Amino acid sequence: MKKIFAVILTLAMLVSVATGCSAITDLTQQSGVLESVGKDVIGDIDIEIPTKDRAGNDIKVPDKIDKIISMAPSTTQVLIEFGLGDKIVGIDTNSATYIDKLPANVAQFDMMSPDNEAIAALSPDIVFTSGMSSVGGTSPFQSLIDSGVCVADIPSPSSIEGICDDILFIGACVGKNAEAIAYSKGLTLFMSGLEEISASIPEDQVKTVLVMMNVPSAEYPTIYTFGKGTYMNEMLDIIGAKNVFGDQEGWLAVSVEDAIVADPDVILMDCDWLPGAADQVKALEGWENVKAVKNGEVYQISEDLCSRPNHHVGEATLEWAKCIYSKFYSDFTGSLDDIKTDVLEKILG
Amino acid sequence: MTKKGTGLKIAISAILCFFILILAIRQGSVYISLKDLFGIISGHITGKGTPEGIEPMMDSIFWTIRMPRAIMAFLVGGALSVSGACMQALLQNPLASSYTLGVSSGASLGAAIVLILEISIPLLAGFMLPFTGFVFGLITVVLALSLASVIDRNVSNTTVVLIGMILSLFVNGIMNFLSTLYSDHSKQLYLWMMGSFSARGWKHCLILFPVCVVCFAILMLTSRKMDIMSFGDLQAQAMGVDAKKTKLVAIVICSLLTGISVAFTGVIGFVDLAAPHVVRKLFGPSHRIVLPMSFIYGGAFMALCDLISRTVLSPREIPVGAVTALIGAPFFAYVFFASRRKRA
Amino acid sequence: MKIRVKNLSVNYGSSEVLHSVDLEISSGEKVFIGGANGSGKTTLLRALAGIIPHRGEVSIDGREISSIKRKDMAKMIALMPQTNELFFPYTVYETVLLGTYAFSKSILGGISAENIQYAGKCMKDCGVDDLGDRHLDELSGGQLQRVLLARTFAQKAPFLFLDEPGNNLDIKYRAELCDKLNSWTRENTDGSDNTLVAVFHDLEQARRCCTRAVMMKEGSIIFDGDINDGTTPEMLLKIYDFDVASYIDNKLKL
Repeated sequence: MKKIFAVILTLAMLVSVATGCSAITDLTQQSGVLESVGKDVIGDIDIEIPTKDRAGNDIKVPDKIDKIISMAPSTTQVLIEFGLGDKIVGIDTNSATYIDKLPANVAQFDMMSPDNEAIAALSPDIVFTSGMSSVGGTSPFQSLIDSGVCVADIPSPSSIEGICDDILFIGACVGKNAEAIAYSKGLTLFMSGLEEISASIPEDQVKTVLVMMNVPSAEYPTIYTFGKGTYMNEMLDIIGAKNVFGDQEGWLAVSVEDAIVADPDVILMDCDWLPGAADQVKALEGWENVKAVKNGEVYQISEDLCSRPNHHVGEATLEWAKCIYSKFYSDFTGSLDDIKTDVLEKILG
Repeated sequence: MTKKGTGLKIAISAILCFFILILAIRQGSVYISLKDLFGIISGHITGKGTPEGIEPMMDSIFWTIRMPRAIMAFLVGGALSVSGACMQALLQNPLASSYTLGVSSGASLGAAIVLILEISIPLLAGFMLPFTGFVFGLITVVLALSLASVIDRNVSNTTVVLIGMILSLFVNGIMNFLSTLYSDHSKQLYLWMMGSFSARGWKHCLILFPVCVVCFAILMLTSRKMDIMSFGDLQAQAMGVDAKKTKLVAIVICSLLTGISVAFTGVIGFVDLAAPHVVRKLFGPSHRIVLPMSFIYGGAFMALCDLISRTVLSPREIPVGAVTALIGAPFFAYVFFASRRKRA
Repeated sequence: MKIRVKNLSVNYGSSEVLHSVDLEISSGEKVFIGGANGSGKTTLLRALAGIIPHRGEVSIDGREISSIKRKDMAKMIALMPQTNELFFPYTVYETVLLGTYAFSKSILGGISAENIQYAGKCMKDCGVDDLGDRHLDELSGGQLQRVLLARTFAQKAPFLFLDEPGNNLDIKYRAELCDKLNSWTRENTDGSDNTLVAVFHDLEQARRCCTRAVMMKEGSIIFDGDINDGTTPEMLLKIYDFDVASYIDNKLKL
């Protein structure tokens, strides 16, 4: 149960937090240099340490990073995969999913009201935060920032490109540039592989999709989903599906009635925390005439992959594709891991 | 006793409210012709099923989603207004409302506890939140009344209102304390407290409807006592009304109505305050007419507010509590103060 | 019918405002309750009507009043309180009809034709029959006083308890009130007489309306007897600690 509230809360926050930070940093321009991946670019991956965080705040990243605090699960995951799990001294409570890959004595903090004193006491070299934490323009980490700790904010990304830039930013901060480039470039390559297939889907076979992050009930009456300007919408675009709320902007809370009227061909349930969500939707009163329900095209998808905006959204996109267009994507053999490793090998030689 | 023209006014009001209800059912993401709507309704009532030529989707939307929602809004609006009307008369306080004795604070505390402790009883599947909210709301009122009775043997109106206020604040304090401790849930709690009719179905209506009918009938039976009570406890007793007993019983019934409304839809303010005052302006203060008219006016007002809450920013929804206050407050101020000026 | 009061004490909070009062009132009596402000007149009247908690005995025909249902009490004793809270502007007609509440038969509180007719008569008696459709908040103080008097009469009770009924009435209506009360006490049809217990500040009015005086001071009855003996200058001096007689004389000379 507890998970339900955490997720609802998170989604509700997403809906309410304005997503306006797509300022391209110096870093992005740097990564533009790395158009082609190969041995010949190794020399260029000596990316400068960023002076602004992803929200555009001035930061001063220490040269040597030994203690990291990550206040967002997506960042925690990336750091662990960079091989920095042992340097993480503190996490947000939602990152606890990865607790077995972290030091035993790792401290946990509330994402919305972090205990700045306790964080400062850990004397971290860098604190990664998510835009989720700053509501109404005030960062709950302000006193930490004032005390001179390097707080690098990474607002919720609104596009796949944004996700790539975030990975590069994290890599640049912690000195894992090669891995970061491999991950972001790998994701881009993987996505373009999927896009090639979607180009072959005939116009008359394009399906409309509704992605629901909860099952509506009297207690959670609205359905959390998204419109354009979100990376999830881009995921649907890439695989050639049409978001039924694609004409709306940003993260959405829509009414049950609007969802039914939208009459999607496929419904994807993005909620691992609710086992049997797909069956619950099929059993909802009033939904029996919705095409997806009538044709049994309601699928539960892995929330862990898609709701954490990092390179794993690539795997999520493939999963979505296989649910929506099993006919077209069942033969797809590309693997994000392989591409990633491949790119990394090329970079490191 | 009934003045000339009152019958006509009642008839016009009833027709108007019926139209608003129909409008609330028809209007939304998709529109439906009256003919199709009545086709769907009669199809379900007679059991013949949807008439041919109407898409099954339309049937789902209107019969399963839109109608129970609109009817729910109507019932809740009516229940809140009637209980507001009674409380104002019983406590001789124009600002008394269904919430004066802490029903809403109690219900919110109950909801907070359910959300925080994540309790669920299988038997109450899907009704855990409303059930707990209802029980806590009622406990708060009973506590307030018992306290008032202990402190003041006559249970005077000032005592009741004061105790209600103090207890509400106290219970709110507990709730704020809890929601700070468990801030994960505060957003959810906040949304619940703002009120919504979304995703309310026939099963909710089927519980609310009989409660409304029974409570309303009991209050109607005491309508004359209520008239007398509005002259104050002293005069009421002199005229043969057991003021204390009447007050306690009627307040409990009102709290029952409010409690069940709050439990199902969250705390929606204002309608309980505004509707009775508007009705009294139109029909005079006699409760025999004020009570049924408050139900109709409050219900129609709420159905209208719900309509606005779900259509204005579609597909998003505005919390209906915000709509009732935004629309109701200026209108109420106009009605109330325009009449004051005339009298002065 | 007879009201018997023995050893009656009443407290407001921790202070006792009536101290062990004994009193008997029989059918047909016309009793004036007098005394200075705060002497306990209103409290006595309310205790007699059984609407405030008391210690000691207050009984009607041997039945302790606190054991009698309010509705039955209202048929025996009609009390017109001094403070008249008006929260909603009912019409005059509606207000007077409310007086017949104790007689409503069905649970629905329906009003019989007989009661409607009686309420009409009471309105006429009190001179408010032409105000029927007016709202209470549109009336003058005197009109309101007469409406509430009509409502009290509509209770058809053999005991009429009035707390300063002359308030807000001009001199003509005060005189008429006395005539009305005098005729009302003789009016009862079942052979027994109606009983009046009234608090007045106007001694002239008291003398016109009542035959017996119960004079109070500091929560106790200090005189009970003929009204003429109860309103002698000596008695008034004792009650008010003020030379009432010469004040009235001086006033008249002016």
